Amino acid sequence: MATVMEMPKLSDTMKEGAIARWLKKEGDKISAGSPVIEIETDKATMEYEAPSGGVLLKILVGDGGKCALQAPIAVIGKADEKWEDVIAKYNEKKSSVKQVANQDKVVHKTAPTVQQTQAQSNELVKASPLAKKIAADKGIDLKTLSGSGPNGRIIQRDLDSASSTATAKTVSTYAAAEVERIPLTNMRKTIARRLCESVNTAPHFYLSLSVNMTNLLNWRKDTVAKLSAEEKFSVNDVVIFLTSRALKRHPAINASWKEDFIEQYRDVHMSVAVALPNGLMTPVVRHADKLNIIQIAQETKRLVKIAKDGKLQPSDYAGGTFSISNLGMSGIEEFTAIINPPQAAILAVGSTIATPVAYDDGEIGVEQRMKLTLSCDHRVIDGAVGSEFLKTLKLYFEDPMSALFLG
Amino acid sequence: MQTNLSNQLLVDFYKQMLLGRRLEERVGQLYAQQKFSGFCHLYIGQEAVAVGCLNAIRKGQDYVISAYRDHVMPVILGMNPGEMVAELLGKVTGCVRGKGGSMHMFSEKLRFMGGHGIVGGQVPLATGAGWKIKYKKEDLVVLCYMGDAAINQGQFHEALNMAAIWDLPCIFIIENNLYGMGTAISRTCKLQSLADRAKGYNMRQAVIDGHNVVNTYTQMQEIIEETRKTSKPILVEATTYRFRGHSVSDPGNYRTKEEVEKERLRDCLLILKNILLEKKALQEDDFEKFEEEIADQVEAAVSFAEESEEPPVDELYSHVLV
Amino acid sequence: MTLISLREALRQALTEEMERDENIFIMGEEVAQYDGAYKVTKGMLAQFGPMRVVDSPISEAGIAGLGVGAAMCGLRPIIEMMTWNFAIQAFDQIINHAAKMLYMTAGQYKVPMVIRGPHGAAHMLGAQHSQCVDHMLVNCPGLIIISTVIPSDAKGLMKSAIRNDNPVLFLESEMLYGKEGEVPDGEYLIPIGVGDIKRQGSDVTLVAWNKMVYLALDVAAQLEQEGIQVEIIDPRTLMPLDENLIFDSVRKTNRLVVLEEGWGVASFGCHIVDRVVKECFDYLDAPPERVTNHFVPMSYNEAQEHETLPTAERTIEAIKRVMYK
Repeated sequence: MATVMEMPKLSDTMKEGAIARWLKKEGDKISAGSPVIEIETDKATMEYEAPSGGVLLKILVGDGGKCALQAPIAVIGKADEKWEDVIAKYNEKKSSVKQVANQDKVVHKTAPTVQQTQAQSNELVKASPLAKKIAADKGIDLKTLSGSGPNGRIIQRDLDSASSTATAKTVSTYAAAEVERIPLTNMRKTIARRLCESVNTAPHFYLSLSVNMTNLLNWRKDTVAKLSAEEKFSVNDVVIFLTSRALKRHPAINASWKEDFIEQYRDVHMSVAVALPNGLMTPVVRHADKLNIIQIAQETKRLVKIAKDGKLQPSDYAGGTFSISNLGMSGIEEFTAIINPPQAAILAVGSTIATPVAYDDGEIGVEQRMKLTLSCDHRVIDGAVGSEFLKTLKLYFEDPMSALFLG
Repeated sequence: MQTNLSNQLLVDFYKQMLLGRRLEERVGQLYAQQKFSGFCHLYIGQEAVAVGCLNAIRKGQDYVISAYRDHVMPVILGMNPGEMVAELLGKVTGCVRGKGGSMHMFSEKLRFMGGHGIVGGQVPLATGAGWKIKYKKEDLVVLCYMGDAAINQGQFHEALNMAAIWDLPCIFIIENNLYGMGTAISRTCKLQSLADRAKGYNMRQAVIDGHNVVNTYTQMQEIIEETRKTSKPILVEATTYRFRGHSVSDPGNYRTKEEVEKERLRDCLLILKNILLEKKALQEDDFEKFEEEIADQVEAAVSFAEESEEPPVDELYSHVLV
Repeated sequence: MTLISLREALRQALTEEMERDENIFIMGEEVAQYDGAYKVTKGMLAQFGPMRVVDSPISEAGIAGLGVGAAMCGLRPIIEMMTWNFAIQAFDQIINHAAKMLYMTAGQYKVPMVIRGPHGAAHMLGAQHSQCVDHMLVNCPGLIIISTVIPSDAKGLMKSAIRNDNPVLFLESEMLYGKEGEVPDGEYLIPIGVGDIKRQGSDVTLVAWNKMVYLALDVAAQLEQEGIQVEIIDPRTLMPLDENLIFDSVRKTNRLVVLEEGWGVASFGCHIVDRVVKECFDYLDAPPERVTNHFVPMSYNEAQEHETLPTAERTIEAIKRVMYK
């Protein structure tokens, strides 16, 4: 009986074989078990023997040819047999086997199921798994809550306080507002990070009072009139000058919380908030307590210019010991500012407004008054200490001469 | 060749060796036909070592342990060849239900302790069996087979040392077929005779002729008797040769054709056949009959294996823990 | 109940079992004439003789392999490793032979063997003598792994280990052999695979085993003063793990900290966290925390060694993190 010789598997990792060379020619007599071919596997070239004896009727894959494992490579049979018939029979048998195998496969194959979960919201609400479960059970919309865990994660305790004011029915459909996403600049990210850090770590409290600016404004007006253009100074420059002098008298305010101790600064380096089109910078007027008002004005002008040009260097804005934020020129009457870490306080300055005042003697007058609000880090500054500082500021603002002798 | 062994015994040896040879040839074909996969280390050429030693022990009582060239030994011990072939095919009727394959044949009933895939790893296990014999004061022995390259493993040293200090009845048999995979043993061991390793343990040693089963058997009879009596271990080097590569994928390029051809003149089947013809115990025709007889046995084993069922897939979870 | 040390508790278990079954023998380096490197087997040679309490050569792979072979042939070996650091020499026998035998033989060959010895760091023994290997071994199917230092647990589990038909790895602690605890007299068995609540608490689940249990108890006592109630779960058996005991606790406390000696990379603690996250996801109010050795070999220097191992401070920090405190 004729045999179709197949490409044998000769190594555990062999995927296909190559015919290095046939050791017999078509028509040669061969005996079973004698080597007839050299096969190149993925590992080596090996002799391989004939599976049965007879005549090598046909070589299907010649020297150098490659084929898959179990592919027919030659036909061995009796001299009078036609190799085409042998191959035809062989193919018939193979295909029927294949069909059965394929049917088997179809039966076992399960239709792929695509799980379609409806996208409900693109927003990720950060909440612990437990918080999500409680919210689902109680019907609370997590979007209505803010989380007290790390990164604003909503945790169990946030649900505990929310469940009393349960907003069970607030989950209604509404048309979502159209949005535009503004990519974050590095400055924005820094502002966000530093101010979050400040609010989350420094316990803030606020002290406000208003000062009578009448004397100061008159004095400035008179003085500036006598100065050259380069020497002129603004009300803000006066605020920096007087505040710097006041800080010298109150070193407890010019300080930082350092976890293990409190650091008080001998020098006053005044950070001045400067609004920019895309954010905020706080360049530093160094040794503000030692500069005269004209020097302060010139230094401030210089810093504001390079800030607006976007050319501030770290040496221009690092190392401040206290900050002033003045929104007076924007018409803001009073406001509270967030402390600029690692400093312990910041002074928020409002606009100067003509204000009716009732005097002790019952008379009513009008004064130019300005509101000052001091934000303090309670770890460093207590209410009384902050108040003393504000009292000094009030004295200096209302009677600038006193700063000359006391500051 | 002079021998006192009965013709019947010699014929029996011949048939056992022939069965081993033809089974392994058929196994090689089954592998080439992709009937099974994985590693496949054939025993062709070394049959006299298994037959000569295993017929000299008390089958089913004495313990036998081996490495991964392990298809033939369990059959000589009495395993149905079909169980061995079925194991190769990963069938549920295999000797270990398709969980072991070529390298992990076992039979607790025949006291065949495997079938181990880590070179030298089985040697300490043999001392454990020896320890049990001594502990239970039995008059049994342990036959521990290993390849020549196993003698360079640390565990070989630890095990032989323990067997020596505690007088364990272990017969360590190095089947020296001259190559550890593709590396000649002369390149990895300075000893002329591997049995000399025994000197370091003050242990008995012997070199036996693993080509001539008559010699193997006769020498092993003495060694086993002595071991049984003294409960002292011995390191035996059996000289032999494998005609095939280390595994089916090995073309054997590290040795010359001449060397293989020369070794074929020492084929254990040829040697025993000549003895039997010389003794006029058999005639040429008888050998042809043996061939037919054995061919039937081999085909029966293959059919049994091919027709057997696969184990249930779920069985993968069984036998992890008792 | 009697107050005895861990080593006495272990010796009681070994002795009682050897008196019960003559197929049990103990073999190891210095176990017989020297009375054991850590005196666990003290006096046992005199009671059982040299065939049952056997001094071996320093051949960890050899004695482990001998144990496997003897167990396959029907004996019940107990192999003492002077420490588990040295047992790394025997990993081939443990992983390739002991763990695989039942499976490779489709149930024909059981390996009823106990390999036991001290585990983890002791005090200033340097890098090669201070390791935990439990995470390496727990990754291999076919082994039972017990890790305990509480005297009563050690006795009850050792007796169960010796009677078990699987290879059992028993991890003790050199530092705690002398530590005493109340131990039931006579026959006392604890089932393998059952964990223990070492302390009840409502706020956080702290899983700890081996000598970390004592650290966990210290930490829990400290935190109680701050009003934090720690529940300590000691699995005692690492494999198979009493998962439900851990799950039930986490479902109650909503918080998990795993305190484990040894390196934290791909450790057993990782596995516990994985299982808890899978099975208790909706109950977690915080990401689980793990306290482990720093990922460095062990330094000899005392302060560096202390810093490398898990500390009470680090454990308290982890507990406070999961409690958002």
